[in-house]
Amino acid sequence: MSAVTVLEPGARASAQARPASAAGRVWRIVRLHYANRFNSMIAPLSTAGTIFAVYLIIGAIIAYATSDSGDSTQQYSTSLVYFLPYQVVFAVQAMNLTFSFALGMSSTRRDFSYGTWLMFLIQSAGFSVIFTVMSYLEQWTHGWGIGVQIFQTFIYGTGDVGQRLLTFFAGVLLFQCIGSVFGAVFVRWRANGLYVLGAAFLVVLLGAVALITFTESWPAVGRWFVSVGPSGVAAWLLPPAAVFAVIGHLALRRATPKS
Amino acid sequence: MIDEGKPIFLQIAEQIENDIIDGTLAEESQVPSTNEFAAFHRINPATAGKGVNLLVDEGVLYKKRGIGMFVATGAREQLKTKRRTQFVDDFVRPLLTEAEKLGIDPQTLNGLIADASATASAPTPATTTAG
Amino acid sequence: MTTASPVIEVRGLTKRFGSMTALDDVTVTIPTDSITGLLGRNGAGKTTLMHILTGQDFPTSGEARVFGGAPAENASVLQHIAFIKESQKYPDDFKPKHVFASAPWFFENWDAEFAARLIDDFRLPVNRRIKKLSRGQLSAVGVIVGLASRAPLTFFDEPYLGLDAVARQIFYDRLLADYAEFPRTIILSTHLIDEVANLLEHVVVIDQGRIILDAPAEELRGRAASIVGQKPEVEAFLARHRLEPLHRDELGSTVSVLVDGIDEVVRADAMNSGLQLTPVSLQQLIVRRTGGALLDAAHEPLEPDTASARSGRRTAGAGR
Repeated sequence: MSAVTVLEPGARASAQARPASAAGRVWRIVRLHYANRFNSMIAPLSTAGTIFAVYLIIGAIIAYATSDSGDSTQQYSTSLVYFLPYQVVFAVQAMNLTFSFALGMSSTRRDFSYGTWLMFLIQSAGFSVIFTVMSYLEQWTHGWGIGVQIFQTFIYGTGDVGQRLLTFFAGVLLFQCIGSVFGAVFVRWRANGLYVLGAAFLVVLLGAVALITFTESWPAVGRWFVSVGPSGVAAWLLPPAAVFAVIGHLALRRATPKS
Repeated sequence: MIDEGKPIFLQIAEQIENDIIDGTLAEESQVPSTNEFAAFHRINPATAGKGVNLLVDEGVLYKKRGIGMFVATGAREQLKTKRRTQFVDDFVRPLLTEAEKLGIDPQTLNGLIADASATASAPTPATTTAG
Repeated sequence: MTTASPVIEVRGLTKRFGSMTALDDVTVTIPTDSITGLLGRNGAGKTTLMHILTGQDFPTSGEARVFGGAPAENASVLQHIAFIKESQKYPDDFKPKHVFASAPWFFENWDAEFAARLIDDFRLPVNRRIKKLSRGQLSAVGVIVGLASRAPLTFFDEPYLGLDAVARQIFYDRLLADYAEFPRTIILSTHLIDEVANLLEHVVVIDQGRIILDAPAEELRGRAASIVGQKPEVEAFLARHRLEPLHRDELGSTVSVLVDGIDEVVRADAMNSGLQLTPVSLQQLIVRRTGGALLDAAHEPLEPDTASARSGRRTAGAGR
């Protein structure tokens, strides 16, 4: 005995199967993340836009000061820096509060997880399209008319359309996945989980750096980057992103909304 | 209005019975619906329904499909008869117990009853104190 | 009344948080299409039980079946459930209008017009951020979702704590009216027992993780009474019917006891013995059954502390 009928006045709520489809259940989670348009769309875009505007202005000032084209390397690293903490915060929030609300609306954890990852994919795709368009604009205006390069560097924003889309997509997605695995761990194990995960990240990162340094492999690493090219590097970012997604999904499976 | 001790559905049934006996609810007239009773007394509709069904079982009310509950013909007499039977247990015995407690013998008691009934049927209210 | 199998069946359910046992071998069934009160003190286990029944937490052992299936991660069961709780978190910067806009995606019976009327009734500002709502308004959000969702199984976990008496009455009235028109299974957890006593068809009382009462409300009404009389008569009466009082008060030679388990026979005997028998409310009964010992400890004796007076005070808390 299970399931329920749509009620009409006077009708008893008896049982009759009419479950929402799996796809529908996942999609409503995506809609849920975008329900508050301010938080999910306007805020990230306006933050990105502000950073962009700020560095454009700084670039313009520098260009004036040094009568030659601005240093593109500066702008490159700044954009990335913007994304990392922002995505982590965004993802932790999305996971935590929306998880609690979704479960409160009787969603399953599985549906929430799939829906949230789908949302991250959509976010990444959206950003990659925007950034690709910006990179072309930048190219056609020769650096916004003042030779400033924000969206084009050695590692992204150059090459053909496919390469630009892929590099931006992979980059944003990776950081979204990092952010969301932190989010999932926070939901499951709260602050303690974050400390452990953060420490683990550091250990792996520093360990890798140490290993490469001691084996004096930096030149090899550099050669690999060059040989694979931006598309190759981007493609290599996807498996780790998938791994983080799986870890996050598993963490959510037994998470409970804490009061 | 709803008191603590007695099952609510019985109180609902009794209220309807009272209304029928004193003529507020005429025979063949429609009785408020279960939901209306529930809303009015702020009780669960199932409980109200139980009270109504009790009266249906006793033949005091009957249901017209699609319209509602109605008072059955002859319900008034039926209820009066039932109440008369209960009258002894509900009123006479407690009266006797209390009278005994106060040392009022049956003869004096009869006198008191006669007096009280005379004043009650007098055209002008005789006293302002409670009888 | 429906003869369908009970919507909730719990067997031997135990939940532990570390060394703390929140639910201890709980076995209970909740009748379908009825209003059931889930009552008990704070921390008794009501919320834990409801979290497990709605799949938001997992049992340590034992089983819970809702609509015939285990609720956790079971979409076909969960889609028919609404769980409204005071501590519900909402996404950052959400406003009530976002909540009501997303509710129909999750609840197939959602009635937007009904929700709109309720929004008016509770005077809820739908465009204000949830973070900025007063406690009463926050409660109203949950209450409106719970009512307008018309979910076949709806849990209200003390969602009206923030509501004032007027708003609470509005809630009860709307609940009753809608339940009359659209029967479904409703579970109300509260400690404002007297306010909801007349709404309940079934009563389940939890104390320290165990079920101590599980009965139709009608049965509990009039089952408890306060018996007052002279001490010797009262004691003899209690002994005659083998009744263990839940509470005892003494004033001079008069004693008042609170007993559970009165039936017609006992009632008649009390009257014949010249004892005064007054009904006791559901709230009083439950308060005494769940907190009796504590309440007695605070109770000051009104006569000299004789040996007999002291022995009379040790019987509370006999309701396990």
